[in-house]
Amino acid sequence: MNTLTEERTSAQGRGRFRSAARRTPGRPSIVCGAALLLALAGAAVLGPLLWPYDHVAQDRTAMLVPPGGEHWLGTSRLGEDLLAQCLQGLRKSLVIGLLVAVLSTTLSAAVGLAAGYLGRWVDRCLMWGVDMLLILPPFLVAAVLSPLLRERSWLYMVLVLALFQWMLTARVVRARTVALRQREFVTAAHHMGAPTLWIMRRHLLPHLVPLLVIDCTLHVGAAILGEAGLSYFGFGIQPPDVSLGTLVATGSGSALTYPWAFLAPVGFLVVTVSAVGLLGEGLRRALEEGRGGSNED
Amino acid sequence: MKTEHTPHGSEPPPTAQLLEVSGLSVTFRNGVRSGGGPRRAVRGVDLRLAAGQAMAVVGPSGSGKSVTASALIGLVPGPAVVEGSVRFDGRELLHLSDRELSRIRGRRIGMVFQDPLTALNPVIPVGRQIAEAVRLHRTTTRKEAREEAVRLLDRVGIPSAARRAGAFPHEFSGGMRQRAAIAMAIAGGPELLIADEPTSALDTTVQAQILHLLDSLRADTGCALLMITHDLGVVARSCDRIAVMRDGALVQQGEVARLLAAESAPDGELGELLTATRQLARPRPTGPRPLVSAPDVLRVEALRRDYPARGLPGAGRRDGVRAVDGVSFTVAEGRALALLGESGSGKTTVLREIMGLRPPQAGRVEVLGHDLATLDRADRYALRRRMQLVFQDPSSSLDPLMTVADLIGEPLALEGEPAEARGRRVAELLDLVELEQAVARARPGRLSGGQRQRVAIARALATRPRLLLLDEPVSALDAPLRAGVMDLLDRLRGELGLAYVLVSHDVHLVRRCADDVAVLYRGRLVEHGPTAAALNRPRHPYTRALVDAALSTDPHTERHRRRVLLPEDSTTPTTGGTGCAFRPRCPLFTDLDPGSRRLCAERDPSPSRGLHPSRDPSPSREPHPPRPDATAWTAACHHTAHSAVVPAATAPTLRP
Repeated sequence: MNTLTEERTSAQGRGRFRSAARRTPGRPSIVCGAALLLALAGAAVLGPLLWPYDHVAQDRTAMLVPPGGEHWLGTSRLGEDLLAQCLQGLRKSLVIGLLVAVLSTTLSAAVGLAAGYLGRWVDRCLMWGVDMLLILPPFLVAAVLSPLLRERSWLYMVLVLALFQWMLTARVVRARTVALRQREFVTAAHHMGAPTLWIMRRHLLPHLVPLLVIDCTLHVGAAILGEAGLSYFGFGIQPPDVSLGTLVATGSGSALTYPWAFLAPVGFLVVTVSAVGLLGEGLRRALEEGRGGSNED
Repeated sequence: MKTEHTPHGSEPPPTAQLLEVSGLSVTFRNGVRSGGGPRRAVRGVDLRLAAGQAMAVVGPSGSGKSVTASALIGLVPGPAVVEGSVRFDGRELLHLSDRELSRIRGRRIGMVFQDPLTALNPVIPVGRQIAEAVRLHRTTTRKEAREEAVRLLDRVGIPSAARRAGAFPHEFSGGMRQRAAIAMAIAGGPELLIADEPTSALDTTVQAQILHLLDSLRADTGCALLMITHDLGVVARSCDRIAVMRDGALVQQGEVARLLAAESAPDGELGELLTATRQLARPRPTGPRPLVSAPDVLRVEALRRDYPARGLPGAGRRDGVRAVDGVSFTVAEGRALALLGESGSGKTTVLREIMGLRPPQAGRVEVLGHDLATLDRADRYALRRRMQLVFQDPSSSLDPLMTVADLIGEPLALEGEPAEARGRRVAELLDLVELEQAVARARPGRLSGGQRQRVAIARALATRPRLLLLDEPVSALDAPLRAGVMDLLDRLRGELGLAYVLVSHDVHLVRRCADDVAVLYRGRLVEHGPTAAALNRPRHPYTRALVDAALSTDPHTERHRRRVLLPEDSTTPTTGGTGCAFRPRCPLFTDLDPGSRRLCAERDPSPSRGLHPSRDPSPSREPHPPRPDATAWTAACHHTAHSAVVPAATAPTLRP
C-alpha cells in the first residue's frame, strides 16, 4: 500500500506537464489533429495571397463551373472562385474560433478560480450567474440580439459566442480549485502571507493549465460550429464578409443541383472541426494518463 | 509457543511450519502507474511462520512489505506477476483459483488493515457486516450469525456489544472500528492473522489497547500473526520473530528477543533502524539549554475556541464543540515547548489559533509582544514573517510544480526581494539545512521525505523568523530520517536563537526535543512543566497513561511492563459538560472513594502545583531541578498527590 502511494506521489511530483509532454508527440490523434490544423491555418493565411482569384471577384465568363481546371473547386452562381471563398471563410472562422476560445477560457478560469478559492457569497453569486446562463438557450439569444449586432462589427458576435461557452469549464475549474484549496501547500502559502491573487497565480493556476489548454482547444471547434450555425441563418457574419457558415448558407440553395458550391465549404468545416476535436481529445487522454488515473487535482 | 530450539535459531524443523514462503517475487506489469517498464516490488522473499507464532515484517516505506502481505493471499493490487511459492499448512496457494483461495482467505487466514474506516462499509451496521463474515465461513442461520457477531464484538472488547452491533462504522471511534475489523477477521476462526499496520492510524493509548487485544486473541486461539509495521516498539512488544525488508528483498530475519534486546546491536538494515529509533527515544545529549532570562516570544493566556456542534448526538442546541478551553503557556526565546496530546486534544487548534493571527474567541495571545486582539493589517503582515510554520507532511505542503529554489524563495519573493538577492539567500538556506546546492533545481517529487522536510524548514527560515511552529514535523518520515531532521531543528534552534512550539503525539520525540511540555486532553491543559520532570514523573493520570503507552524497543522491558490500559471515550467534548473531562477514562477515578469522585464530577480541576509533595521534588529523582525562572510544573487534577505517588513507567515495574 505504502509502496504504491509513494510511487504515485513521486510520479506526480515529476510534473504532469513533462510526463504528458513526453507522451504527446507519440499520440496519433494529436499528431494528425495538429498537422491538419496547421495545414488549414497555413492555407487560410497564405492561400488568399497565393491563389490568383479574389474571393469577391466575379468572373462573368465562368459561372457555376464544376471543380477542376482553372478553378480547383469550381465557381459559384455569381462566378466567384470557390476555393478563394472557402479560404477566406476559413480564415474568418478560425479567427473567430480562436478569439472565442481564448476569451471564454479566460473567463472560465477567472470565474472558476474566484468562486472556488474565495467561496462564500462570491461563490454563490458567481455560480448563480453560471446557472442562469446555462438555462438561456444561446442560439435564441444570439438570434434575438442579431438585429442589434448586424450593423456592428463581427467582433460583437465573438463576444456573444464567448458569453455562452465558458460556463461548463468554469464549473470544472471551480471544483478543481475547491479541491486544491484544501491541499496543504495552499494553506502554507496563505500562512506565508501571500495575497489572494498571488496564490491564484502561483499555486492554483499552474495546476489548472492542462485542463484549460484542453478546454480551450475544444472551445475552438465549438465556436466555429456556433458561428457557422448563426451565419447560416443569417444572424452572424454579414456580407460582403464571408465565413464558412455564410458559404454553406449560400451553397445550400444549390446543394442538389450544383453540389460543389455546397460541398466545398461543408468539407472545410467538417475537416477543421474534426482536426480541432482530434487534437483536444488527444491532449485530454495524454493528460489523464499523465495523472496515472488518480483523482488528485 | 515457540517451536525452534536450534542453536542458530533460524532453521526450525520444516514440519511445524504453518506458512512457508519461498522465492516470492511480485513484478508489476508495464503500466502508466509505474512510469513505464515493469517494476519488481518484491524480489525472492523467503519467510517461515510456525503455528501460533507472531512475526513482524518491518522496513521503510516502499520496501515492499505490504505488497508481500497481499501477495500471500492473492490480493496484489493492480496487474502483476507473482512468482515463487506460498505454502499454507502444506498447500500451495499461489496457483489456486480465486474461488478456492477465497475458501482459505477469511476462513483460515484473517486480514486486518491499517485504516478500519475504509475496511468497513459505511452504510451497513457493524454487527451485520460481522454477521455476513460469519455466514461466509459457516453455514448458519441469520439469527445464529447475528448472535455470533455480538459474541465476537464482545470478545474484541466492545462495551455493550448487543446494542453496539446496530451502530454504523462512523458512530465508532477509531479504536472501536479497528476492534470491529479484528472481530471480522477472526469470524472464521483463522489460524493465521495478517495485520497490515494495524495500529499506525491510532493514538498511542488506543494502540496499546489494540496490541493488548491481539496478544490476548493469540493466547486464546493460538493463531499465528504476521504483522506489517514500521514501528520497532510494536515489534518488541508483541512479536516473536522479525523480518526486515528493503527494496523488495528480505535482508534480515531473526528472533525479536535476541535482535532487539537492549544490549544487542544488530548490523545492517535492522541496526540502522534500531539505532535511529533508540536515538530518538533517548533524551537529547546536550541537555536543556541554560536559562538566561530571555524575553517571551509567545504568550498564550486562557485561550478558548469552540466550534458549533450542529447535529452532533448528545449536544444541546446551545452547546458547542470545545476544541480548546483555557490553555495558557509561554515560550521564551531559544526555548522549545511541546504540545503533547492525542488526536482531538486540541493541540493543532492551538497552533492554528496562533498562526492565524486573528483575535482569539476568548483569552489572550501575544506574539513577539503584539496582542493579537489589537493587530492591524500592517502589523499582521509584519508578524507573519517573524513567525513561520512547518507542516507535518512535506509532500503535501510543498507545491509539486515548483522547483526547490522557487519554493524556498517564495516568502522572499512575497516581500519583493530582487531575484538575485533571493538566489543568494536560497543558497545560504540550503547550506543551513544541510542540502546540496544542486537540489535547488529539483522539484519536491524527486526528493526523499527527509530532504523535502529540510526544504520546508529552509522555506520557513527564509524570512529569519524568531518563532517556528512545528506541526508534527517528523511523523510523516521513516524512523531513520527522523533523527536527522530533529537534530537539524535542534541545531538551528541553538544557532539562530529560535523559539519552537512543537505539536506532537510522540512522547519520545517530545522528551528528546522540548524543554517544556504542555499536555492537552480534550482542549484542556492537564499538565504543564519542564519536560524532564513532567514526563519522567508525571502527576496527571493522563500524562502517565501517555508515557506508559509509548513503546520502547527493548522486548524485555516491553513484555514485563505493568500496563494501565485506558478505556475509550468516544463522546465529543461539548461546552455543556462539567467536571474533569478525563473522568470517564481515568484509572485513578475508579479507585477513588465516592466523596472524592464527586469532586471530579462536579468541579473542573484547575492547574495546580499539586497538593503534596511540594512543587520541588527531591533532587535525587529530578535530574534538572527547576530553576527560579523555569516553567512552573502544574497539573490539572484534584488528586495529583495520588498520581505523584505512583512511579511512572519510564522505569517500568517488573512483574515478580
